[in-house]
Amino acid sequence: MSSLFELNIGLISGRWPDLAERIVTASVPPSAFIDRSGRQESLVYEGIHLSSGEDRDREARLQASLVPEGSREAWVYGFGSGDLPRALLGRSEVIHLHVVVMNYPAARFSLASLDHSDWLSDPRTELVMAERVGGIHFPFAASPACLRIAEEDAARLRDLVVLELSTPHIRSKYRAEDAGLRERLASNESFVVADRDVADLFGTQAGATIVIAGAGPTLGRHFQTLRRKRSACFLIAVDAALRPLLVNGLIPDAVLCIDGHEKIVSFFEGLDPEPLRATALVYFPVIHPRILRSWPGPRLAAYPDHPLYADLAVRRPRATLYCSGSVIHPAIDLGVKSGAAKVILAGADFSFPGSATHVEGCVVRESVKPAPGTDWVVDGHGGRVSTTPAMRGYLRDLEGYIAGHPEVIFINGSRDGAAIRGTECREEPL
Amino acid sequence: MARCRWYRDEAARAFRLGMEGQASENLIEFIDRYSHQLGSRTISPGEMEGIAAVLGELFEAQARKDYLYLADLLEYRLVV
Repeated sequence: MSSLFELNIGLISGRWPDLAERIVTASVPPSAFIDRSGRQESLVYEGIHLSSGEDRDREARLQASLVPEGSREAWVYGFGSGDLPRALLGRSEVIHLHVVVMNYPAARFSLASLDHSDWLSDPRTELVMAERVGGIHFPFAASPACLRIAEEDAARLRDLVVLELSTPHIRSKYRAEDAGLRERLASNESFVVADRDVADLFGTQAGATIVIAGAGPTLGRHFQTLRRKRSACFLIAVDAALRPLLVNGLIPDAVLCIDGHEKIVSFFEGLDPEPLRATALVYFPVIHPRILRSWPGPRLAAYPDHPLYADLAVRRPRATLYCSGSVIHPAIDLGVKSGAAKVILAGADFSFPGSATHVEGCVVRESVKPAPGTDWVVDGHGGRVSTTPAMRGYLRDLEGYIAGHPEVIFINGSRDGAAIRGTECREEPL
Repeated sequence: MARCRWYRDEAARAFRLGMEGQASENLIEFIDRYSHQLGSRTISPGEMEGIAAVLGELFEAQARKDYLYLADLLEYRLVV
């Protein structure tokens, strides 16, 4: 045990004994090392530098700038080399600083390698375990390297922080696409006028079990049971799941389509129209008009709660469905608003179980190769399954939605995809 | 040149803040302009070797998502 570690852990033991215990029992992998190639030392954990190796103070000041000047309380997600909490405690107006540990072995490595005693002994510091932090707190600053190496217990919090950090960029990207979407809304308005309102479906399935077919790889496991018990449930599919369902003899009651992208058309091309005569297409009017024109069954328009739709909503009022980027959101919200007592999520994987992006039979299905640095999410077994940052964002937003609907039972139909907070996992859900 | 540096600085800044999407887009813009810039001036074989080595490290750091090191390479190691 290094003398630095003794000094640092001694301070932690005195103030946060539970946390000290977690750190002391963590073991640092042999691959962790100190990179001395730059002007300053930089700790490297799992191939990730925990700080700049050139100017740590400058970097910490930049990261601290996310906390507005004058803030009296702030949160730090991951302490890295200690520079970020130090930068914030350098502000005299800060009276309470919550510092969240995102990875115990990395924390141990840092405490054994650097002197953290100044900020650890500061009475304004509160060191916190990630698993005890319910949700994201503001204002905050983060050590991005600590987010990258976050452990399973900290994964949900990591995703919320990453989502928050990426939100301004995502919004500006969407704004750039707004002009094209406005044109699409204008040209599709005639469909909205002619079609029914999605509100016609609300309340029609009171007390029902509603299955939501996402297009994730695990959807295929439910085909057999769904065929056997098809009459016992209302089936809502996302657009990408439609073809795989039909190929397997399953006709959904409703299909959701919300994305204006050209590639979405491929989900509908070449389908036999006959089985779909009674299936409702529920859509946001930004989708490609070819999908609307060729749909053989009833069409129902819906809007997301988004400023882009504000004008249209005044002229042609239609009900809204919750959407935070993924088509699975409005599909689930339609289930809930239709009156479901129980919502079963089938193929809502938010990840790549079996190293595939989609269920078999989906035209955009690809295989994914595991690589170092791949993003992951905790699966239903407590392990890691690869994913993308966008899907993690969709997952966390869905969890927020589920938390707002305690009146509905949500079942996750697979443990191999992402674990979804607020759901019960049952692999034979019907 | 100034635009090239601007994208480099923005990429490094966003990587240090954990804003990965924004950082990656700026990095792409930077690399695009930087390669164009390299093609338009005379570079000694020795200098080229140095640049290629840093760029190699940079792409490796990008692949393993070692973004603070990547930011260091951009700001302190690559001559722009």
